[in-house]
Amino acid sequence: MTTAATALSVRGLAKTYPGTTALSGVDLDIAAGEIHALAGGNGSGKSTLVKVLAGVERADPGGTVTIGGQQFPADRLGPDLARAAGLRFVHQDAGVFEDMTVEENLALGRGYPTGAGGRVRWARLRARTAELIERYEIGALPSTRVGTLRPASRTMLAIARALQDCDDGTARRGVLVLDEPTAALPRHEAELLLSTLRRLAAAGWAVLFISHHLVETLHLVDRVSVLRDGRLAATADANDLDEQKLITLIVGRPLDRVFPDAADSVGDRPVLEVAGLSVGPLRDVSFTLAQGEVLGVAGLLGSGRSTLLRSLFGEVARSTGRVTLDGVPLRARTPAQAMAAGIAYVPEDRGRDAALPDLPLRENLSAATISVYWRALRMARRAERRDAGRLLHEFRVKAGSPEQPLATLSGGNQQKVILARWLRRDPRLLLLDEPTQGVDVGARADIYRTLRAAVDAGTSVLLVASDVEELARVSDRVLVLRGGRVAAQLRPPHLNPATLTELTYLTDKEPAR
Amino acid sequence: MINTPANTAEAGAGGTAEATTAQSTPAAAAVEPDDGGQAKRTADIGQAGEAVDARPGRTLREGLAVGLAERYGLLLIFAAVVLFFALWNQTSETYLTAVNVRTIVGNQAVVAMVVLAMVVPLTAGVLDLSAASICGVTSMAAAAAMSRFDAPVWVAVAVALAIGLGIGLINGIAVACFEINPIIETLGMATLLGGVMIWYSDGQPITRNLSLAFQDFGSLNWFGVPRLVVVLVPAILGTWYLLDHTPYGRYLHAIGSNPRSAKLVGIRVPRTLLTSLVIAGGLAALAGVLLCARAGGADPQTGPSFLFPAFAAVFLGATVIRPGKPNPLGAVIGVFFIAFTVSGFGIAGASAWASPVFNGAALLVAITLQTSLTRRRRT
Repeated sequence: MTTAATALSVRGLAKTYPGTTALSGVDLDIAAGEIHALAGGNGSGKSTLVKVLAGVERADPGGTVTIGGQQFPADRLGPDLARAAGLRFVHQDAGVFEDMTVEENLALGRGYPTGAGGRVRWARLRARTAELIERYEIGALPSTRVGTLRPASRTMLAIARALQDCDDGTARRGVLVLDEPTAALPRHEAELLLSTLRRLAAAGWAVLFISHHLVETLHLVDRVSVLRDGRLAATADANDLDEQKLITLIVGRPLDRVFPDAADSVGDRPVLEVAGLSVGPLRDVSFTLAQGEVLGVAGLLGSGRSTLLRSLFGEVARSTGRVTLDGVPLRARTPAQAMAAGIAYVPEDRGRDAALPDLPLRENLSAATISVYWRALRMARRAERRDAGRLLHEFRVKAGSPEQPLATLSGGNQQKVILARWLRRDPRLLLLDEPTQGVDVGARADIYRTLRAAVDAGTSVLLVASDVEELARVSDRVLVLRGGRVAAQLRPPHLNPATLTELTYLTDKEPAR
Repeated sequence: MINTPANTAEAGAGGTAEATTAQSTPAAAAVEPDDGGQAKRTADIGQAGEAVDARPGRTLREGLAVGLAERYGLLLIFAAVVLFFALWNQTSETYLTAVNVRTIVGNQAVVAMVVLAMVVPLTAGVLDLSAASICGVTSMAAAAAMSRFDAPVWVAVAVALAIGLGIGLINGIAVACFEINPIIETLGMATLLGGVMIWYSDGQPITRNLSLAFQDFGSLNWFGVPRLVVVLVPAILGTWYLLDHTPYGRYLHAIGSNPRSAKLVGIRVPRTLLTSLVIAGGLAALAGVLLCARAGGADPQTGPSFLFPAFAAVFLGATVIRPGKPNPLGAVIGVFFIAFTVSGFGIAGASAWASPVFNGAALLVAITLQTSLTRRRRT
């Protein structure tokens, strides 16, 4: 549909990185007044497409991008050109300043109107802001602090800020690209946002909407394009799609309707029993973990997977639910108490939550076991150093000496040190949050080898990971968290990456049998 | 910024050792930055990291030389300064005499105690600016107890200690429990205590009716060494032992390195910080007692005036022994380094301006050195 109403047209777009094809032969048309959704799994090429449109990444030569009738070679599109042609981007985190007022946030996008001597003309700013607020239905006063706004309004504010300078009342409209605008929004907020977007589209804007959470908002968009492995899998009217069809398009094969049995039938003696746990985003989570079992936890960001681990470790207070460890009620309110109960925790953000960067490896390794070396009124430093050397060898840490600061190691080796810090305690329960994030392949194998050894020795593991392949390969069983609830449990032979992806992307409805 | 786990991974790796390489290599070889590309991307980062690890490092001898220069550089400069003033014809006559050295050691014993008080919480990253003022208040409390209430020496000392520990407890509660920024809290406390001293003393020194034995302890020598050293040396050793040879000291070091990590390895961070400030209050009170004995009384100005020399010494001391980290031995060396240098200038005739100029310069040089040392250690 290359009519006059086509706002954005992409032809033959390709992008290759050394060794990888991120996009190949992608065609896309978006009409003015249309809300067009772009869907796809992880690694499908969505983000690359956005980067090419924004001019941040250069596409391979050959493709073309037509914006509002102006045609550009795809390999020539730079940030300034994209902007001048009428493309506007609003990114996931919206980038609004919560401590500032609505008018200040808007002024930051366009500059303050100034009078003689560089004085800010507040009255004019306020009038301009009031007009924008009305047009974009932000639901606030110019002087409202942004932190007090509801999430959908914040996103609208970010949109207004992005569009204000080209929305000058003329008929010419551009293309608004929204990257994951609803990822952080509760469902009703997402619907509110989309209904406002609908009015924006009615005013002539073309909206390209990129989302992981598309199935929830399918009924609010006009058309959907699905990318898979860098190629356009399909473009379809939203009316012709339903959730199952969409997931089939995203995953690339017919959806297996027979879901694995969600019943829990672990044979061995349970180590950890969680019943009715609700904290943060978690709602009524129940499961058991047997001795020597690796229980994977799958879920999108915000599904509550990290909160689950942090609440078990006593870092997040929980009010409801019953948790027992080896049959004894677990009442850990601090990490120290959780450790005393036999729990160990490797957090997701190593640099922020686990590393003692300027301290030597020896002290990093014994950080959770310091008092062990308190003998006869002094620290047994020689024993500590000997143990550190043994652990560095055992966990295959590439390091010169136990006295070298942790920060001098690579990410993978740092992670091995953190893992060694906890495994030396022989924990009953090991909580792992993204243990191989930012870790190279070799170190990853080392990490899982040592993990397996610990499991064989009787440690039970609760493993959170984003990489479904890894999750499927390492875990004995996987819980799928969605919207804070346990949506499914998978065990072999149903435990495979494709099924995990399907299950994490389904809506909150119960899986079809 | 599209916030996918792949990006988080990159950010995590970017903050660590391979920062520079991670930025260049995977950016050039960047694959689709969605999760699916994560394995590949992180592999790139990881390999870059290995490459950094395997870089041809400094030779052992080179590293040792740099390490030694780093570790004992201040001592070398210290020795050079002493040698210079001992040989310079303007100062050689009096500089290295027993009287001058004894005076410096005796006077600086008090500053050294204040410095020890500051080092304890600073190990956990908490800067206590009130230590010098606590020293002033407790010196006045000890003097007043003897002068105005005819108390025996031991009661005066006990009162001073109680007040110092009490103020430390207030600092600790504010900083550890209410999580008030320690610099602001202790600065406020220092200002407040300075005012209290003027109010209590009407700005006049309190000197009458002090125990003679107490004053002798402050001004006389045993075997040619100022008697105050009897308190100072055990305090130095005790602080060193506490910080370097007990689990408590290790907790403080861990908090100083990364408070969030410290909490997640089971360290009770608030409790540890609170006690560190109470210990600081106690050490500052000991400094106050020594000051009272040395000066034969108390006035509202002397104690607070130690803040700056102590401050400079702590950071100067962080460049020796354990480079990049505040430590008790280094800090005491810093105190005497500054004092011996200022004394030399004083003998040469530059009395009034030498002390502030040298203190200020020492602090600036020290903090610059310490920052660059720490940065080098982290990258």
